[in-house]
Amino acid sequence: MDPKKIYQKTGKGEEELQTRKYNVPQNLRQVLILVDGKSNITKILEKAVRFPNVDQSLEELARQGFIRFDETVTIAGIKDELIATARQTLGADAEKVIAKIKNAPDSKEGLQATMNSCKKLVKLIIDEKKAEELIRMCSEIMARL
Amino acid sequence: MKIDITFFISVAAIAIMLYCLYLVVMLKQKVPGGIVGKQWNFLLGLVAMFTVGYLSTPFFGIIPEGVLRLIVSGIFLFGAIYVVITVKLIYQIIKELSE
Repeated sequence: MDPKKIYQKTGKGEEELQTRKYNVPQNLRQVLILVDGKSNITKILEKAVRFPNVDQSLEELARQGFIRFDETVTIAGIKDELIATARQTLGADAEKVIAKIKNAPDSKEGLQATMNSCKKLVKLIIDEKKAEELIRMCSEIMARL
Repeated sequence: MKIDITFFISVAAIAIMLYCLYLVVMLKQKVPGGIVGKQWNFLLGLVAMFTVGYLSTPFFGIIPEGVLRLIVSGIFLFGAIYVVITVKLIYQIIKELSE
């Protein structure tokens, strides 16, 4: 389970909290309450420190369709990390790469294509070694998607 | 210095070469390194050399023939080097973009 991923409640999850229609056990219900669409798994685990097997509860809630990964938020977070990495690797020359990342589509494939394009850009007009370093670091970040 | 059609052509060539020098210097700031950046330094040097060579063309009438031949052959040689670098650079860019 990736600790940086963010869960959000589904319609079914919201309905359960309001009506108890699905008779979710108390331990799962407590975890469901903590899912707010903003906190990543690490934060939920911190908040739920007194609850047992929280990670398993999250998986069970996801399996039953009460929660799901918020892909948009995850990609936005990944973009921020990619931008920070570009700044760290390229310094003052990072602006073109940052603009490309900001304008990249909000999908894994779109972001992957953008990063390949960034690698070519850096290799051609900034620095060949930095291009390799940037793509290596960004691949590690992208692997979490 | 004789003012004839050759003189005007030389002045036009010098003006265009000075513009070329301006472009190469300005673009260098946008291409700090990488494959293009490295080759750009060579191109910048060659354009600067051509500019000096071209500036001498209005004085061809008063330059001794031996020196004149040297200047012209030099311009041909470095012109050929310029073309090789440009062609190789275009090839590398196409190769990189088509990977």
